[in-house]
Amino acid sequence: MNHNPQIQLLLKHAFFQGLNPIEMKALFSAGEVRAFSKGQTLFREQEPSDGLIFVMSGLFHVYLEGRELPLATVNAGEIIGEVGLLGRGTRSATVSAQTEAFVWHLSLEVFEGLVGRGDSIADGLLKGMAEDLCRRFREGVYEAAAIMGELAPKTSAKITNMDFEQELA
Amino acid sequence: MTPSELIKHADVLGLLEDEDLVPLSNMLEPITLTKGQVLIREGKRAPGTFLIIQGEVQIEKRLPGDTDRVLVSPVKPGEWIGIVSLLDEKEATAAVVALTDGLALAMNRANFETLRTENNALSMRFGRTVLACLAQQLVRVNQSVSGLRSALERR
Repeated sequence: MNHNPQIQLLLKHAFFQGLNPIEMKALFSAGEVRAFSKGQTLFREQEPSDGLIFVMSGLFHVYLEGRELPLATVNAGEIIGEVGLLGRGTRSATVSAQTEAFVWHLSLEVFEGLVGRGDSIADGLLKGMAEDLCRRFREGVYEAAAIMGELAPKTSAKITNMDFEQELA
Repeated sequence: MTPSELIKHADVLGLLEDEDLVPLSNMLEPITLTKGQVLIREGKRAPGTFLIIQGEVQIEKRLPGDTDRVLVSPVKPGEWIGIVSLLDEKEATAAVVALTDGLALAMNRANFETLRTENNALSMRFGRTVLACLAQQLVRVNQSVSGLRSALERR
């Protein structure tokens, strides 16, 4: 049993369900805790991705360029930027702190080192991520289909995402 | 296209190492697509995961409680499809249908499971590759849901 409250918080997230407390402690030590002040930007859309961020305290807003309203709100206990850990692309949105906040950052470099060694920590992390991404993907697809069903004309046999593209701008 | 050229397509995100390509090629099979071919059936477990290389392929999702209407979405070349059903071992959320003749790389369920249960660098790099594709697909789904919610609220 690990009594570090920060590690306990991480262990509650679905991504880390494949790790035991000892592996979680080792992974936590391989990352870095960073502090943010209110209004500070965590990262910007199109910046190169450099890893995964777990919000330990505080509140963040996720924005798309050119849109005023936030795409999403991220609270303590949630993760930002898993795409940035899995791929080597760029950030898909801008994220800024709405309050003072602390995050735990797992860098792409550390993650790739674990994967390259075939480390059991990387295996546990990938399995936890797989389970969570699958659940969220299914929920998203079902919600999109349900809303499309309400929005699209009953006479349309085939509906495309493009039919509602203007709504995404 | 030679087999070695085909296998390089499997590294769509540049996350594999050169040493992975030979063992991976033993688990992937080039398949020709014919117009109208159903690769994955909605409501059934996917038989494998497919990387579309040539040809047009479309995702078809029946709207809930609606027998007449279907949501369609093109598949971008270079994307792995069928990942979710293989990973969570549940029925596919949508069908995948070839609109034209084409070419794909397929990994069957048995080979996918072998890779998943092996705890080595190749299995993790391949796992990371398909999860990275899935994460990108999830970003697009979430952006669609966000826009659709706004459209629904404006009604």
